[in-house]
Amino acid sequence: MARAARVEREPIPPGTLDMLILRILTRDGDLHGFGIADAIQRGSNDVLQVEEGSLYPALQRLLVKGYLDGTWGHTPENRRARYYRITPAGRRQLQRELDAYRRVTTAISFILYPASAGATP
Amino acid sequence: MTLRELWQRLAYPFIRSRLQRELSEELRLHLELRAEQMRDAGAAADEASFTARRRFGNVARITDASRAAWGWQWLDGAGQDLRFVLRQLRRSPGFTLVSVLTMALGIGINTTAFTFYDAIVLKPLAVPAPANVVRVVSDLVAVTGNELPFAAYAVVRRDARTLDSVVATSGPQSLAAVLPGHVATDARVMSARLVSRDYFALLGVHPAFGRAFDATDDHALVLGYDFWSRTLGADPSVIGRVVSIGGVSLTIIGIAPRSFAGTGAPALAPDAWIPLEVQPALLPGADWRHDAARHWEILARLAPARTLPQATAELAALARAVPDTLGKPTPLLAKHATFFQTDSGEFEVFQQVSVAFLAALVLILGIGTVNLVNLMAARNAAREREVTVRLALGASRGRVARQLASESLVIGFAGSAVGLAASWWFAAWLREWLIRTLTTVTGGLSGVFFDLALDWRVVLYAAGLGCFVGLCVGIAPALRTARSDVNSILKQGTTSTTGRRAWSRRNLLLATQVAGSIILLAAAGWLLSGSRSAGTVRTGFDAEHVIVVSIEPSAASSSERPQLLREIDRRIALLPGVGAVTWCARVPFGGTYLRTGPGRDGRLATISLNRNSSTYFDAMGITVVSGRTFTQAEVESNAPVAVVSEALARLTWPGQNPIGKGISRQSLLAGPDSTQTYTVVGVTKDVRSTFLSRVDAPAEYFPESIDRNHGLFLVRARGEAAATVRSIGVALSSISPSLPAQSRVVTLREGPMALQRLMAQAPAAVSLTLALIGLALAGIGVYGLISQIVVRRTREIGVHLAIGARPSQVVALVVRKTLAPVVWGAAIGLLGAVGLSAILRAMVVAPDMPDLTFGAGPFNPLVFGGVIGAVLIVALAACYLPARRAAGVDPTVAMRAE
Repeated sequence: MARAARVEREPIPPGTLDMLILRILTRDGDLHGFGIADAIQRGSNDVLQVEEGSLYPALQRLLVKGYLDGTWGHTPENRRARYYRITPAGRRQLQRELDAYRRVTTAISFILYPASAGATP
Repeated sequence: MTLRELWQRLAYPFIRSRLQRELSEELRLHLELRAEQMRDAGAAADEASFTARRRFGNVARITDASRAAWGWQWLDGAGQDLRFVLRQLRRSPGFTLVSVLTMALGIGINTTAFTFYDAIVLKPLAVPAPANVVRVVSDLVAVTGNELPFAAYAVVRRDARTLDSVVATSGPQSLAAVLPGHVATDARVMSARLVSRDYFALLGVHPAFGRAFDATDDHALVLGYDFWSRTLGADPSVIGRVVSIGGVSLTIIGIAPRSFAGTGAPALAPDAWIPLEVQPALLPGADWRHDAARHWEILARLAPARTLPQATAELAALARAVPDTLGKPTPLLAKHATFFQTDSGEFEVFQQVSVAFLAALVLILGIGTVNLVNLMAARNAAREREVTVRLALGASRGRVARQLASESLVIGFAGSAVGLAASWWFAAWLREWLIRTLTTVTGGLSGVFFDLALDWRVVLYAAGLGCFVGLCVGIAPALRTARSDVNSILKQGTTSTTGRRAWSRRNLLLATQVAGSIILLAAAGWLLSGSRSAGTVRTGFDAEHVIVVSIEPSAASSSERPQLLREIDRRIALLPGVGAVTWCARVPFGGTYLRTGPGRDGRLATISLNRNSSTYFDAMGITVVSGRTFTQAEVESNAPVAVVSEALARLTWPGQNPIGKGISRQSLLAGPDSTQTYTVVGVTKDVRSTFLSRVDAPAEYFPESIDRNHGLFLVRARGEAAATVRSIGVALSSISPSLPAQSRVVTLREGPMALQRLMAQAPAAVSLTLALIGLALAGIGVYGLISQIVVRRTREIGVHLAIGARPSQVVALVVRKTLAPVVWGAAIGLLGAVGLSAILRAMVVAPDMPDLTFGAGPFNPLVFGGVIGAVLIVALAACYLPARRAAGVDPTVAMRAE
C-alpha cells in the first residue's frame, strides 16, 4: 500500500484535537469537516495524522458545547456540506486551551532541557 | 454546563433523526472528497475509495461516538433494550400472560386499597387551594361533636388577622322535606347543613348548575349532586322550584358540583345546604346565632404568608373574647381541614384495621413476586446459552445484565398498568356496594362519600409498586449473569445452574409462598367462622322483638321536647302489639358508652354504662337475677340507685351479695350525679348489647327521667315486630304529621344488628378473597417449579425410564422434590398463623373493639386442618400436569435432545 508522501507520521497527542480544530477555524475561517482534516495535515507539513473519522465526534462535542456553529452550504463543486464557524465562546475556549498548552509545554521543556530553560530545541 | 449547552442537550431527543441524517451526510461527503482527491493524485478508483475508508476509520463506531457527544446514549441503549425485551416477550406469550397477570393481581389489589386510603386520608378538600383551608376547633382530637358557639364564629371572622374567608356550617341536620312534585304529606328525610351565606363563595366552590347563595338569599337552598340525581333524576329544571320543610318554603337555586361533598366532620355528604339565617324558622326554638349552645363548625383560609402556628397563637388570644359555654371557656385551635379529618380521635380503630389490612396485602404482593422470581429464573436458565453466546461475542456484561433486568421491569410496569385499570374498576364497584349496603342499613341517611377519582398519588403508587417489584425480581438474575463464567458454560454444552444452591434458593422461595398463603388462609378461616356465628350467636336478651325508635333533635325545640317525648312514650305504650316501652341513653349495638379506670384491685378495668327508665329490662327481655329494677319514682327523681350486671358484681364484690352495697363517689362505678353515693338494688344477666361478637363489659344501669333523654326509645313487640313498626309510624304521625320524617323506627335485627353482622361479614369476605388469591398464586408457583424440574431433568427422567422405571415411580420422584419445600412452608406458615392469632387476640383485649373471630381461640383445629388440607390439595393439583408430562417422556427423544 503506497503512502502519499515519505514522511514520518505521528498521531495527534491526546486532548489537543479540540484545540487544533478551534485554531484552524480561527485562522482559515469557515471549513467543512474534510477541509479541517486536510488543513490539520497540511498545516503540520504532513507530520500530524488524524484518524480522519475521529474528527467528527470532536466536532459534535464542540457543537454541543456551543464553541462552534454549523451551517449547511455548498462547496465550490456544488456539493452540500456543513461549514463550521467558531463562536465567541469558542474563541475564549481556544485562548484558555492555548494558555494551558503553553504552560504545560514550558514546564515539560524545563525538565527535558534544563540548560536552555524555556527554549524550544 | 452553560445554559445553551443544556438547552441543546435537552432538545436532542426531538431533533435526533435530523442530526443523524446530517451526520451521515457529512461522513459520506468526507469519504467521497477524500477518494476524489486520491483519484486526482492518480490512484485507481477502487483503491482510492478503499484508502479513504481506511484513513477514515470504522464508520459505525465513529457515528456512535459522535452521538455520544450529546450525552443521550443511555436513552438509545434503553430504547434498544426495550425493543429487545418486547420482542422476547412476544415470542413467549404464555410466560408473558402469566407473569403480567400475576403482577396485575398483586398490584391491583394493593392499588384498590390505596385508592380508598387516598380518598379517606390523603385527598384534600374538594375546593381550590385546599392546602390553606383550616378548621377552627375547640379540641384537636375530638373534632366532631365538639362544635363551637356562634360567638366564636363572629369573633374569628371579625378579629382574626391570620385567617381569611371565615365560614360557618352546622353539623348535619335531619329535616323532613317535601320535594318539588310531591304532595305535602309525602315528606322525606333530608340531611342538610346550615351555612353562612358566603360558604360557597369563600371556599371557591362553583355550583354545577344554578348559582351559590348571594348576600340577600334567605329562603333558598343548594342541593348536593348525589341527592339531586338520586331523588330528582338529575333534572336541572328543578332550579327555581320550591322545597317545603316544616311549612317553610325554600327555593332551589343551585346544585353543588359532583366532587364537592361539603367540608366533612362528620365525613358525610349533606343532601342540601341552607343559609343559617333560616334556622329559627326551620328549627323553631332557640336562635342558634344567639344562644351559647355549640352548633357551629368554623372553616377559614390562612391569610397570605401566614402559618398554622401563627393562626393557633392568634386564636388562643381571641378565645378569651368568646363567652363561656356551659360554665367553661371555649378554647380555639386551628388544624388543617380535610373531609374525613383522619387525624382526629375517631380514626384510631381505622388506623389499626388499615395496618392489619396492609400486612395482608403486602403478603399477597410478596407471593406474586416470588412467583415472578421463579418464572424468570426458569426462563433465564433456559436462555443461559443464548446469553453466554452473546457474552462470548463481545456484548458487555453490564449491557446483558441490564437487558435481563429490563425484562422484569417491563413486566412490572405492564402489571402496574393492568392492575391500575382493574383496581379502578374494582374500587368503583366496591364503593357502589358499600354505599348501597350502608344506605339500606341506615335507612337512606348514610351520606357516605368516597371520591375515588384517579389522582397522581394512586398512579404513582401503582407504578412505584411495579417498578419496585420489577427491580427486586430482576436484580438477582442480572447479577448472576454478570458473574457467570462464559467458558465453562460453552464447553459443557448443557446448562450449569442445576447446582444445589440454585435449587435450594428456589425451594426457599416456594416455602415462603406456601407459608404466606397459609397465614392468609388461617386469618380468613377465623374471620369466616366469626361471620358464621354472627348470624346464630345468642345475645342473652330478646333481640327478635325489640324495635328502636329514635327521634331527631330537630323534632321539637329544647323546651318543648320533654313534652313531646312523654307524649310519644304514652302513645306507643297504648298500641295493642306493644309489650313494653322504655327510654335509654344508649340502644343495643348503637355505639359504646364505656368508662375505663382503676378497678377494685387497682388494675385497669372497663365498664359499660347506661341510663334508662324502669321498664328497660322488661322491654329488652334481660333476666333480673336478684333484687329489683327501678321504680317509677326513682326514675322520675333520678334517684341514686343502680342495677349492675353479674360480671360487674363479680368484678367488684366477688363472693358477696351486691344488693345494698354502696358505690363510692370517686370509684370507677360512680353514678351520673357525682355528689351522691349510689346503692345497688338489683343484679341482671350479662348480655351482648355492645358488640354481637363479645359479651358486654361489666355493665351498670342508672335510672334517668325522660326529661334528660335524647329521644331514644326501645319498644318490645308482642307479636311480629314488622307490624308493630308500622303501627308505631301511624302513632307518630297522629302526634304530628312531620314526626315520622323526623324519627326512625327500625327493628333491632334489621338496623343496628345488621350493621354488626356486616362488621363480621365484610372482613371475612375480604380476607377470604385475599386468601384465595394467595392460594391460587401459590398453586401457580408450585406448578411453575415442578414444570421447571421436569423440563430440566428430561434427560435424567429419560434414563430412569430407559432402564425400566415405571411412570408412577417417575411421578413420585418429581413430586417428592417439591413436596419438601411445601411441607416446610406449611410448618412456617402455621407458626406465623399462631403469631397472627396472638395479634388478633391482643386487639380483642381492647374493650371498645369488636372481636372479629367471635371468640375462636388461636388453635382452632377445624380452621388449621382445613387450611393445611387446602394447601396440600392445591400443591398436589399443581403437581399433576407436569408430573404426567414427566411420566410421558419418551426415553429416546430425551436422550437425543442432548
